[in-house]
Amino acid sequence: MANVDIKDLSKHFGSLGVFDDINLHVDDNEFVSILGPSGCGKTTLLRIVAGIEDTTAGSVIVAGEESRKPRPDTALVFQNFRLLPWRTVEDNVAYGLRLRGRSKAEARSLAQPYVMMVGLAGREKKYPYQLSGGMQQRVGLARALAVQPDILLMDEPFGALDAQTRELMQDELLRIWSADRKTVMFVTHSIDEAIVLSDRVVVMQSDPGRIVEHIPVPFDRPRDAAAMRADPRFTTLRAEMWALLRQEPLSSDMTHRATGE
Amino acid sequence: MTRVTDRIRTPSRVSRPGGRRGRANQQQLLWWSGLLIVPVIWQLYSMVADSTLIVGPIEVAEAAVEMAVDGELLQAAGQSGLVFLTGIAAGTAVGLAIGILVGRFRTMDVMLDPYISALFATPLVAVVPILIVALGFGFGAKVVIVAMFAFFPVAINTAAGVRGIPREFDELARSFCSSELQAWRDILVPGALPYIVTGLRLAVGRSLIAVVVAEFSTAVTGLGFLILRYSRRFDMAESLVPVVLLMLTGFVFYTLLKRVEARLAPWILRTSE
Repeated sequence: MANVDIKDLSKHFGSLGVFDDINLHVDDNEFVSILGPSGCGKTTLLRIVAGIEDTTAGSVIVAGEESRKPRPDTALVFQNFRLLPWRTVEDNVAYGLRLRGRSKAEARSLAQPYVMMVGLAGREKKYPYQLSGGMQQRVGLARALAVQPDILLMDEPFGALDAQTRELMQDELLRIWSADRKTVMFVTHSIDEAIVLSDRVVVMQSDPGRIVEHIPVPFDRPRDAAAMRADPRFTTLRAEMWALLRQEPLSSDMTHRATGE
Repeated sequence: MTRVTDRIRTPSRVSRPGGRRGRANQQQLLWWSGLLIVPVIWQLYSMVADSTLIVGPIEVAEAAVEMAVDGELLQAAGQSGLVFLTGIAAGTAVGLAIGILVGRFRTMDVMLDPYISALFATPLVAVVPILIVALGFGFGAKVVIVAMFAFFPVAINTAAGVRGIPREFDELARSFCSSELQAWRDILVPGALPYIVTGLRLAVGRSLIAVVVAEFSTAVTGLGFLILRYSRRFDMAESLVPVVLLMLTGFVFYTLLKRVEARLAPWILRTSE
């Protein structure tokens, strides 16, 4: 069982409220994207699930247990990769395994399949600074997968990459996820990315941060991202999400004009 | 803790691409000339001065051979070397631990700062007689004296190195359920390693001073003993032999560690984006 249940969750930084009373359920092996503009609290939400951020009120239940700390059955992929610059590719991938008591040699050999899975075979001995951004994030992904988490938490993992690399990485993630399905919470501000990857897109708005819609993505798997983008249903979904996001920056005094359009 | 900025430097990387080869050769030539010029002047001066108290490098070299053959030089060097290595190892170990604590925890930093700043600015030689009262004249006292000299540069540089590690790696460690000690092993020590080696390099020089201070002021042994014995007999060449040996030791360690520093961290120029 690897589901996530977020109940009446609130988060305030001092007097600044990020969000109040968020409720969200993510099912076993479901791929859910959390889509929203910056400032809506989507990253904070993910960080709370990951156990590296406190809550103000409410609870997060992971795999049936109330959870406030990082758990061994979840793994986090960071937006800025966070590779250890003094470690080679293989030793970065082996990082989590080492922490679980494996010897250096054991951890390396266990990491090897994940290095290959993300297409970095032959680059095991390179240092992060010798890799492109896309390759660095492959390492970040492999590091998370190597600890065989039930739940993968991804915080705008492709946000720092250029558009082309980003699409390649989406394809890669689709492929990897189809081969080994896990529960995924994927934070993004890209509508296309959310549609291509997810079973369901949770749309958030800010001021205050809240969930405004759950939109299922009806495409079958395995998916072909290029074919999806050409599909009219994709366009419809895209427009629907755009409309939800676009309401966002229009505060009270603008609302009239917005509805008038 | 105060930052001793002039003592904190990131490793320098001397790159010598093919086109610079001529310049590299020229530099080598200068290096060797510099190395030779001082002994030559010294030798000439000793010949001109014509005094038994002013000996030249040739006489020192002859004395060195004699003392080496005799075995006393090796024995003394062994005694001093043991004090040096044990002392610097102990000082480095403690300096490393305190440096990490101070660099990592604000509380420790604030609490220990007055002591570290004050003691760092104190001429440690002044403490030596007091230490002897407490610890006696033996090997242990010598080691403590050397360790004390080695401690500060290691602690201060380690703390600076640990402070320089991005805090976001803490989150990485936490998210993977790392323990505090695992974070020391995986993140703090390797992240601060270039600084730690710089600290160690500075500790070498201070420790050599400490060895001689210790040997002069406790039970007289080792190279310090040789220096005292021969200078009291006005055997100037013999008394200079241990001094030259100390110089060479310092030079070798210093150069080696400088190389280690330069090679240690290829990533330091381009850390995470």
